[in-house]
Amino acid sequence: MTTLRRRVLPAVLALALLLALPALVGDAVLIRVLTTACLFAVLAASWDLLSGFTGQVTFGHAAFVGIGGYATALFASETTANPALALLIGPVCAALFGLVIGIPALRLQGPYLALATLAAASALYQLIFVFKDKTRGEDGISGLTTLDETAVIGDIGRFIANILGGQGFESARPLARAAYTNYFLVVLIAGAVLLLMCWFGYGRHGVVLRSIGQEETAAQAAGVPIARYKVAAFTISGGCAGLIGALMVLTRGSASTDLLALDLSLIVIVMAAIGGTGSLIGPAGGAFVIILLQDHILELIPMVEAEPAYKQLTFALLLILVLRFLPHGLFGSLQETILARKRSPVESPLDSASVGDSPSEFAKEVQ
Amino acid sequence: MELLTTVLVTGALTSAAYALMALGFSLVYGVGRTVNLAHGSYFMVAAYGTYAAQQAGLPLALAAAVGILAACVLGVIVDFVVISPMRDREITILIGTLAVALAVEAAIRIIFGVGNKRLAGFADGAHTVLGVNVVSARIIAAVVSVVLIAVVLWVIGSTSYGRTLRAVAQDEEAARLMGIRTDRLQLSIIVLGAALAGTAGVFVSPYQVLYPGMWLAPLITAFSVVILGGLDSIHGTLVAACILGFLDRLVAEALPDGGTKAPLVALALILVVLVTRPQGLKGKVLA
Amino acid sequence: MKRMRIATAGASAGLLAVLSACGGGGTSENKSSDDAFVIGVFGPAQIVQGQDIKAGAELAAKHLNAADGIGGREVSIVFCDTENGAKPEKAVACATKFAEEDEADAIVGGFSSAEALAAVDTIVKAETLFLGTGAGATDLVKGVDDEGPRRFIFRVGPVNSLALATDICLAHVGGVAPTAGYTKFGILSEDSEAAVQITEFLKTCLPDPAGATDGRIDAPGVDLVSVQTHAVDATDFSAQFRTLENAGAEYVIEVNSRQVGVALVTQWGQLKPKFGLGGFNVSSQSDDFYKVTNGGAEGELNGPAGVLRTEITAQTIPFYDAFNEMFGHDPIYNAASTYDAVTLLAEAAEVAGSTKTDDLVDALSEIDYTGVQGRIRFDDSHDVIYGAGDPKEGLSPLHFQWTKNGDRRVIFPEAFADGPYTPPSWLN
Repeated sequence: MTTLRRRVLPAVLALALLLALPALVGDAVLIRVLTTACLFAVLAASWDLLSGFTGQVTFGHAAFVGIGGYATALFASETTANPALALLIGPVCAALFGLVIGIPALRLQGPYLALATLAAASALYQLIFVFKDKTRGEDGISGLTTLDETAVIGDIGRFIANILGGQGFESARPLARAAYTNYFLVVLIAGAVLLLMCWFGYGRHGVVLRSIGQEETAAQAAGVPIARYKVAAFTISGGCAGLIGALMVLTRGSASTDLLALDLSLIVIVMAAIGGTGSLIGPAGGAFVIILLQDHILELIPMVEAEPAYKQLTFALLLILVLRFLPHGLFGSLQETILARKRSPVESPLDSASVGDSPSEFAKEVQ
Repeated sequence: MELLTTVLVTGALTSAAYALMALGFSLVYGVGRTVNLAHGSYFMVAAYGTYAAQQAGLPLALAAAVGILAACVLGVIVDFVVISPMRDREITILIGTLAVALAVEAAIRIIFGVGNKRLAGFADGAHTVLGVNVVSARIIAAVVSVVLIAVVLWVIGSTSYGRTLRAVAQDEEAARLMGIRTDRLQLSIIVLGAALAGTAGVFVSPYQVLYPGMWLAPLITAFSVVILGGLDSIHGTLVAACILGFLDRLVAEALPDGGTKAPLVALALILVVLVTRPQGLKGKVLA
Repeated sequence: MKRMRIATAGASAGLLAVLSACGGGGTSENKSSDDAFVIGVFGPAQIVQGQDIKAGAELAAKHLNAADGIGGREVSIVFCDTENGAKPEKAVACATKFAEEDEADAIVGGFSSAEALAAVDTIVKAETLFLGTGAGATDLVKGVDDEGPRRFIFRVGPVNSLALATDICLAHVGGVAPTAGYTKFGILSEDSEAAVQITEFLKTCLPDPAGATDGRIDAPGVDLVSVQTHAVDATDFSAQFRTLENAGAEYVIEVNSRQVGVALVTQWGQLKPKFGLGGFNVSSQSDDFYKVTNGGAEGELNGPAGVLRTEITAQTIPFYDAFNEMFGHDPIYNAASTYDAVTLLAEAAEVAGSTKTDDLVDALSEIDYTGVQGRIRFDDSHDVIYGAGDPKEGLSPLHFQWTKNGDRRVIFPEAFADGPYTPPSWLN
């Protein structure tokens, strides 16, 4: 359990910092950026749980986000029930899809799986247009009640915002108050999901998942029910991503095809790889880095403001550098250099693993 | 009857274009065990390179050479920066080459802007083949494709270089032990793959349009063809290119709303094949 | 050991704090002077449509600031990039930034319906004035009236998608059938929500143009012989052309946006199927379209389009020339509507005698303004009034044909026409 505590500590500290931040900073725009960052952090971590841990690299993670998101939007627009219930419905739908995808995925390896998942997400994207009447095609479903306006959940959010929001919240106008309320709700909900994923990923089951990703034949020989775990990974990862989709729609008040776009699947991979795959916390950190750079920091540079393509160039080059020189990702390497730890030869490689296991280890798939 | 000739002619042209695009991708995997997601970027860089050379005043043939050369240079860069240093780490290469593709797209946007660009082709207008009216540039693309593929097949089958390629494809370790300079060979195959994709870019673009996001569609096409055919089988790639090419045109010409249905049908076919025969049509079964 | 671990965790968290605090300082650079009238402009700068929204706003600001600004206050434009228009999240983020950080007095822009629809909810919550200048979705003004919570929303251009469809009917059926003597029409539209809506309307227009346009069209007996679709990123249109040709279509109405229109017209020019082509093709509004299609555009009738060097109003040509001088290319429709939106604010401020939001809303509701697009008035839902071919009534966009030498001739509305529609030279 020490591994769990070691991993989770940065996340818990970050969580505490995030909760305290609004009172210190008081900038609604930054709050919104951080909200987005939290959502992507958990999304990247959910990708990692599947692709980083079990080695089933998917290029279609947006599919889960889209299912969670559109389920939420349809639920909110077609029924009169409390939209916050979608926070249960979205993940369940996405998890079911994960289950459905996970089973045929068992037969596919490496690049085949990558293309298949990409094709699956692409097929869903097309389906949105097939059912244009309900989904409004590329216009999307808008005008939904946002999270801060829902009964119960919204009230809880406002209650917390009143306590933790500080000056910024007290003096804020309706739009800013909504932003603060949503922020706290997202931090808490997403944070809880992340901690849950960590508990799962660094516990007994997590060891099994990683063994599948690193040495599948050995795991099989050891009697691990590979198929069950692989499908479970798809299901859980999908469910978490679906929750993020639901949260995205509920904080934005609209659902649109960008939830299913290839762009989304790709940026999640970029975030996870920069942070350091196979560690959950690494990808979460990677998401923060990318979102803060993209939506806040880089925009301060005049050259970037004039030509936004520089942002994408920056991330792409950063990713290449990280892959080349920091095999454990940004956050793995950060931890490594600070601790300057040497591995004890007795410790099991799985157990003592650094923040991000080197991709070379989990990439040694059985050919 | 008219439908049949139409599908035969247009299907053949489409298949030839697909094959040229996919061949390089397949070779790079077969010999180097590398899935290169920057493959579409070669297509794009060659097209934009040719465009830039034309704008600078070069005649078309020379401009095309410049474009293909630019694609090869990119190939060398990709090999040097991403592929060689991370050999054996398949996932890392996958993500790394994706990063290259994204970087190249951003660079193209910065250099050329977002507006649509036009690449003049070797021929304009249309031509009638077996009673079917087709864009002339497509015919040229198909001819170039067939010739190049024939040359590549001949090289692989009948030259010493080809023999070395096959040896490395079969067992790289053994080949290295026998004294073959595998690193040089891998570089050469990367450049060959880039040249093939670049050629596709130069000849296919005249009937399409240049824009910074144009790397994605050719990549998906190449990826789909190669996956359908089997990652490590050249013959599988060629067969799959024909299947997808003819299927695309059959659906487009024969079904109402075929134009929008064709991509979906292709998608469905790929998913079905992946589920029932995960190694592709002619791929070897993975352990 | 434990202390070191905690230190690591603390360092990681600290990194985050540093990163966050970094951005906190950039808020007050946006206002050029304390009393400036801040206009938040958003659009997809990755494509020309968004860039022209920005350009139109900047030009308007330049002109206004050379005079009295808006209500005596200097105009300050703050642009926010929504990338490619397919990310509504970015539009919402822009709207929030305008409201909270820039304290915008008005928000202008939006290209895609998805991003505009997503953004207006936020803008309404912030009780800020919004002038739409790109999205045509009828839902944009849903629930809008003069008094209610959504009173802040206005659409200055283009005309909404229903009006757009009517306009296509008027120009491409009413303007083409009588002159060229065509009776058989086809439709070739992309598979998107907006295009499908237009296609549905055209299906009522084509058998009965008079009925569909309240008698404005006098074309008898036109048949709709075939409706074809293509993907938004299609590259091969030969199958659709063949089907349309075999069905006997004499003129095909195209509906598409983004770069797919370039390949479509290029191939039309290469294959030369036996039908004329025209319709709503956004790519065709770029002044280099003829070159980009390698002359394939010859004979294409494009519209509704933006402004050309045509005297729609007294303001149009000066705007056109000034835009070309400043940005080096012709303005597309977004540029014109954005320019009008910003200058409209100055007019509203003058009429209202104030720049307070509610006063501006009241002034705009009743306004009768001559913009560069035409006569601008709003209906009860704050949607710009469509002129249905009569520029004196409201906005009636231009439709033009590309000629053999790459020039453009206006064909519709009749008030500005250089001449009637003529088929391309290769079509006999």
